[in-house]
Amino acid sequence: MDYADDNVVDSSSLGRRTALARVAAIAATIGATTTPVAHARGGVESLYDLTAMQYGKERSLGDFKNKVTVVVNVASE
Amino acid sequence: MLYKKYRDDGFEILAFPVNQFGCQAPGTSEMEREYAYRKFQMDDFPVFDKIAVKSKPVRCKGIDPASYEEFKDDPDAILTAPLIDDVTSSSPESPVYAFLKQPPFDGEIPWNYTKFLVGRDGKVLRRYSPGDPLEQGMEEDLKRALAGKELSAKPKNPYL
Repeated sequence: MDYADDNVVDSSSLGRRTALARVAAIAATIGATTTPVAHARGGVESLYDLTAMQYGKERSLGDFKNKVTVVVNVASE
Repeated sequence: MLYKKYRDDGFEILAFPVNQFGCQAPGTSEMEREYAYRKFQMDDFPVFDKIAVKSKPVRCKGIDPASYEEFKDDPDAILTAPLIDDVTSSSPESPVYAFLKQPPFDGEIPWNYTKFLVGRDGKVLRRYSPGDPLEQGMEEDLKRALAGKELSAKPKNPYL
């Protein structure tokens, strides 16, 4: 979305409420592009949207999409 | 063995070595992977690199990954190889576990071999304590999940 026109708009020609709403809309746009997407808790809908390291490289868990999986933490002693 | 029985129906095991419970995974990711292959008596399932699963860091020692080549075939590596602070035990919780541990499946992971059953849509269906998963009804849950059916309302044992 292009707000270039909004930036030069004369606020006296707008209702105060409209001007504030536009500022909020711009702020929201900026926020959306600068806030990290990966809220591990909040944003992620599916395990298969995540990645994990294997052999020192990042692997998409999308490889297991449409499978039923059991995730288990293991140890050697 | 559930894996061999159901893998053709779309079942997969995802294993993550974790050195946060009694410092019981001091090997490198490669060593822990080999151990997991021996323990489960198969080597055709994914074992990822070591991660942290607890929300608070743990201080454990581990074999320096730089020593892996030298000690990879030494069964006594943990006694003879130089140990360093294991950054995987003191790291922040993995995003995978931050996702798995959402309500109603939240609560700290108590020990090795805690298990989460995840459906075809990537959502957690059930959590199991480290004990025998068959005693906790995993096979019945697995069959229903593979068939796209809802799980029975209550697990046989609460996981905590």
